[in-house]
Amino acid sequence: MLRFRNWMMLGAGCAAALLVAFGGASAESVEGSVQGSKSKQASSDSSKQDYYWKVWNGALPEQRDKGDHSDVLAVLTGKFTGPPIGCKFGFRGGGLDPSTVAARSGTTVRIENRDAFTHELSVEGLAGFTPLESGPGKVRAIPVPAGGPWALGDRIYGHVDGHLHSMRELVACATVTPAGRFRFDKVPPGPYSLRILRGSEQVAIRRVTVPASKTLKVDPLTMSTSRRK
Amino acid sequence: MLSRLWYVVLALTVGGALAGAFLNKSAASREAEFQLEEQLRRDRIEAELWMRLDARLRLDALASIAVEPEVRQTLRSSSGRFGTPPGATRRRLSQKLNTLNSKLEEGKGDMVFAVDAEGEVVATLDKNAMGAERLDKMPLVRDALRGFMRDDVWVYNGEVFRMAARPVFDGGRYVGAVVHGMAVGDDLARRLGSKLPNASVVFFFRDRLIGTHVGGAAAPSSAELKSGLGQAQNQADDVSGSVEIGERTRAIASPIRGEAAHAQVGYIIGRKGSTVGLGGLFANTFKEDVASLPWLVVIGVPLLLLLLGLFLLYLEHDKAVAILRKTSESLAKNQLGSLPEGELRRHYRKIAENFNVALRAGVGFKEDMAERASVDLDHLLDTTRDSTDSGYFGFGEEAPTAKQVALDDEPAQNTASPHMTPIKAAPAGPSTAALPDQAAVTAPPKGTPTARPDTSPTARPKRSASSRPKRAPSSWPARAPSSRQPAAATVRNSEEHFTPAPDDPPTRPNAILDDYAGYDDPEENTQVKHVPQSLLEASAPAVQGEEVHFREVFEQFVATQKDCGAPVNGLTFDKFVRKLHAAREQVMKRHDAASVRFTVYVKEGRAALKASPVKQ
Repeated sequence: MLRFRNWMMLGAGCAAALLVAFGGASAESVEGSVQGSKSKQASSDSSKQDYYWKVWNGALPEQRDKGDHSDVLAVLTGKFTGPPIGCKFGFRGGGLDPSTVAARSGTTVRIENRDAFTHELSVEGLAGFTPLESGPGKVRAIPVPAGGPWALGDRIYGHVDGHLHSMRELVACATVTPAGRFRFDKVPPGPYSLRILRGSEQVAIRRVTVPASKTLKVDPLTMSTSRRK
Repeated sequence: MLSRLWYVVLALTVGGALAGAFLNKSAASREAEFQLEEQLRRDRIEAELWMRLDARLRLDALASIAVEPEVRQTLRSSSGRFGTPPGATRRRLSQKLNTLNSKLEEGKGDMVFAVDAEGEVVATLDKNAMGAERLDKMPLVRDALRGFMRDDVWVYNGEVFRMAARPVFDGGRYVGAVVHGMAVGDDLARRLGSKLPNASVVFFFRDRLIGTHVGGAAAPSSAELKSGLGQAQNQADDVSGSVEIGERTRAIASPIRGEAAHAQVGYIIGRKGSTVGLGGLFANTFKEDVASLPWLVVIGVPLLLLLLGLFLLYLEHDKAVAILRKTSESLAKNQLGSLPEGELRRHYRKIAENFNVALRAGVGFKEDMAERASVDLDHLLDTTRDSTDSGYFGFGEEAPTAKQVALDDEPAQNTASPHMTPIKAAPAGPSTAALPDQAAVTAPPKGTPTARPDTSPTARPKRSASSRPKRAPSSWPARAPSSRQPAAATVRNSEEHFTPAPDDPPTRPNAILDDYAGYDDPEENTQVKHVPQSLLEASAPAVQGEEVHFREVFEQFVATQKDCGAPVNGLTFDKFVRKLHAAREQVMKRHDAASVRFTVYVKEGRAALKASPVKQ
């Protein structure tokens, strides 16, 4: 009797696993938003003065920096063994977009150069990674071991700043618009943890269960105070 | 002593002067190096100011593009909700940018971007570049989109550009920005270097030189600057950090002001220092410095010291040398008997004392002794011929001995004896010139005042050749060959025909040894009476070892006699030796001595002999 019950539980587990593994066929979307202060764009104001002149034009008033969430990354983690969904990163506009990068531990993350000029990505403290010049359209692959996060940079452009997170159960990634919204597509139904990464920190987390054949709308997440520089 | 002390002072002064000169050279070198560092710091400040001004000029020049209506309208149409303008519009804008850029002349950009409000590049100088390029994350563009005019330095696809951006606004709002870039290269280095005379300027990107300017022969080469690139980069953050990159060459590095500094873009200014040698100590001297020198001290003190030194030298040396020179001349002229010791000091006095001792002892050059003796003898014999003075021995006053008579009467053919050579071998002289042939030599010349006439009462009677005893062959060593010897020997054999001089003291022959007072006191002077020829003959073989002594005594006697100013005419060695032999025999007999030593001394202004018995 006990042996039969064990066999039944093993079968249910396998069925659940199969459901998760092959849930792409019935993948759904997850929408949400974050609340909290926007990050200011990298500017020379906060660093040493690396210009001779920065003067107001005298005609129109200074336009305020509205800020954005280019340093915020929403990720789903859970029991999913497929390739991470939507985790594409790269240079654009002269900087990392987004600047927070997540990768599954033991895999390789690809950083594509979508600019018209070369970048030289560097990962601080990551052994075995050598900064190399990557021209426009080129992709730089970073093997991600367990651990982290690591600081990302550019040996040519000092304003480039980012962080690389190594996550053991990374399922999907989504960028956050300047308005604070994010959306995961093609996520298999199942239980996940919705995490908001900002810089080197995780600033929000929520457990969600993606239902089948239905878009999950997540209530706004409030980002905790970031201690990032 | 004072002059030596003066030399010490002089050496110390010279040493001090040299030390001072070298110290000054070191100080000058250090000062030159310090000035070079200061100059480099000023160069860096000046370079920064110049590049700041250059950035401002580029920003101002960019206004002509930013206010262009077509640029403004195109960017406005591209910004916001209107979306990216069509390709044709972008191409027109690109052509417009080229036109406007070419009007900037010196400020003409190597790349120009027209960026909309979202940071997307709408147009560039390359009208075919129609990609969706964005620059919104570049701080320069971001600040320009916010309304600021700003400059920067970018590394853009391996090249370094000085960037400038200014906002474009239209209709009361910001619609984009114009971004302008000029490549950093030799032209920039040249323009900057023209503001820094004699300095070299290079721009570097990591370990690569991207712009060089060498400021002439007095400036370091770009290779020198490149060799010190790493060293200079390490000091780039140090405000005072100039580094030595070569001999007398220093450089100062600075990261460039802009984002490219993160990519190790910067510039180096290098200069060569001036050589500071000992001669260079006066290189920077002004006329005012020379005029302000205390010339009275500069010239007067050394002159005073020079005079003092010369005075001390005169006191210690020159004066004594002058005295010695003058007195030695007088000495040579026989006007002085000795050097004035009392007038001299220290070493010169010692020299004079020693010299006087030598003079009193009659010391001469040993190597010249034999020659001098021969010369003196010749002189004596020569002068004897012309003199009526027969010498101190006064043989003319004495009764001739049998030996003497035999010698005097020896026939002329005896002149061919081993001691006599033909006169023709003798050098020309007064005596030999008057002797035309051998007969004339053997016979005294007739008619001469000093020659004894054959008929004179004092003439010795001639003896027959057979009555003359045979002379025993002499065992004495033969004389040194002398050209004067034959004449001397010839005259010697004929001199006994001479008449004694009237002024010659008749007792003088006896007075030679008349101080030989007695045998009890051997140190007393010995008086030599008549010496029998037999004694001379008998003693000759036994005393041949004393020949040298006798000759020395004879020479000393003659010399002393000359020193005393007494005449030595008629004094011959043979006569002298005969006297000595006689005296020696007497002294030996009286004192039972093995031998006798003779010494010469001065007595009553004339030479005298003293005989001292030597007992074994």
